[in-house]
Amino acid sequence: MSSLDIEDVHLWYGQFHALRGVSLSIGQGDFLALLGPSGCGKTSLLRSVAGFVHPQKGSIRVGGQDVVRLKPRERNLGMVFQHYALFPHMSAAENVAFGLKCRNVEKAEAEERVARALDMVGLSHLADRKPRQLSGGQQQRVALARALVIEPNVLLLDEPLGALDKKLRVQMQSELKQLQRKLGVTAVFVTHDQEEAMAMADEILIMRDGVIEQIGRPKEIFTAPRTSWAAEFVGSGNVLKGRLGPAADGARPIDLGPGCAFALAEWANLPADGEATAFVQAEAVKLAPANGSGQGLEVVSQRYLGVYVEVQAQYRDGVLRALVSPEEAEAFGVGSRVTATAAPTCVRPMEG
Amino acid sequence: MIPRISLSLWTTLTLIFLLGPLVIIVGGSFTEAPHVTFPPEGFTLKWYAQLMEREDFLESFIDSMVLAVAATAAATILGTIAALALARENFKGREAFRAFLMSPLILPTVVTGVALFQFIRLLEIPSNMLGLIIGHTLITLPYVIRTVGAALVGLDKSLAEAAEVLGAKPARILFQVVMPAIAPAILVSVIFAFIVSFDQVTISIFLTGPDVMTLPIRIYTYIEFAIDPMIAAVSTLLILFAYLLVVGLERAFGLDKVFGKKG
Repeated sequence: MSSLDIEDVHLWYGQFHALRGVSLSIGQGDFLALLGPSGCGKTSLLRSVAGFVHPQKGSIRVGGQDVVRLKPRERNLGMVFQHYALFPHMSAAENVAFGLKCRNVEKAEAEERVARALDMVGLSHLADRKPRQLSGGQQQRVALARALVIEPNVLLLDEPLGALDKKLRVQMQSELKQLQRKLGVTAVFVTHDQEEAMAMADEILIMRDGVIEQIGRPKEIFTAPRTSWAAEFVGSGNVLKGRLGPAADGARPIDLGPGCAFALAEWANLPADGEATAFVQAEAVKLAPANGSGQGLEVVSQRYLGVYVEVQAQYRDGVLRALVSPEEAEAFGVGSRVTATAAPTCVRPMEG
Repeated sequence: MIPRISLSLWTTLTLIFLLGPLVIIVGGSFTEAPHVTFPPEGFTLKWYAQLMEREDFLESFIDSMVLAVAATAAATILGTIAALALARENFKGREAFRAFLMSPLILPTVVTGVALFQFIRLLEIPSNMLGLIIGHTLITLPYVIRTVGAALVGLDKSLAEAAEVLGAKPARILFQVVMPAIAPAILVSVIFAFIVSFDQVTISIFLTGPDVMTLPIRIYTYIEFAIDPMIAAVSTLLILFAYLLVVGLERAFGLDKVFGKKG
């Protein structure tokens, strides 16, 4: 169980520059999610840590030791693959025992550790089953036990829940998270599902075209995406672009056309005058019925999401998304006119 | 949709077409007439009795067995190694190498036979059996490479990666992960190679000599002079042999597992 430090890692596949100077640092026992669209480099980064690909530049340190030149088998890592990669001719117990055999662990001790690992994932009663006799979720657990039984320095997970159906996936998310916390193992998890990343990670890294777009706690990523690309990828709110007005009541208004009244409480890093980009979460947008017909924004759609109703209203530059309670939503039917605002502290400046 | 009756009709016709010659041979081996007749005239085992007295046929059977076993073993080992090499990524000239290894399938067998004949004379290989083993290994190699290669293409690459990250050295990955996963394909290629070698006439005809003559060549030379029911008796025994071979493998390993059906 170790910390993981990655510094200025560059990886080329021939001409293709897959990782362009990635640096990050996670502490022992942290859970990092690598999030991004396909082809963004998240899998390349994980495979660099595993040792299957070799970055031409940069360093990767596990518990302080640089592993870039080590073979995968010398790194003492646990890895769970997208399609589990269980050895089909071995039973669940033999699969779990494989890493211990490679380490020449004494037979009695190995048997005990295998039994404990299978018990930990709740599969003791299926130890003798072959992978094909197990369900997807059970195979997933065997793969997890196999990766953890060797007491890895870091646990790597390559979209391990991608092949499961929605209900099982949510259940496995919380089991996996609990297990990781209980064992205190440092984990790196690759996913393209932002909800999954939010649900599990202590730290989320959003990647785009081989560079880090943003790294931060889930709440930070959710409420204050650094760029409009990150905001759109996470999809939790609205990117607002407009001209800043002079400060009033400790906030500077951002001009988005009639019907919108948004202001920023934080503007220190923005140009004194001119265009600015800001982010506001859909939950933070407050709607009110507009006075008089033809005023304000027109509601163009409503989407029922259970706890919330998503209301979309047309403003000057596009569609503004707001999440409101189902009771409130009744006042904002499609075709009705509304005005929109948000608390200035919820409107966060972005880099553009 | 083909109507059910028409479908079973086609199936029956196909089976008759495929099995017809076998029925005629097997039936003909029991005839009392001095030539192969169908339906058999009367019933006798005298052709089998006559065959049992022909030591040359027994010797040829043993020659063919030794040859097929040796060539199959050599082709399976070499072919599996070649298939493993061909399955590696980033390996320059892979396609050329593959085409080279598959070329015995593409060249007319007669041409390969002539070439082998010259080659083996040039090298002054002392034993005809050794020459035959070399020739048969060459001709059966493509079957092994194709079958094992297909299994390796279908093999999940992450199996080897999972083993590697768990700490396995290359030898352990090969013998404990990759080989068991492709074992069914290796077994299929053993069957192919054995049958191709055991049936081989064209190559063998160039390489046999006074000390060694394979069974197909023995049959071939015999029927140049006479087609009597003893040949039908030999053929019947060969059919039985092939059947027992397949059933034996089925019992030992389960052919449903061998032939594709993922167990």
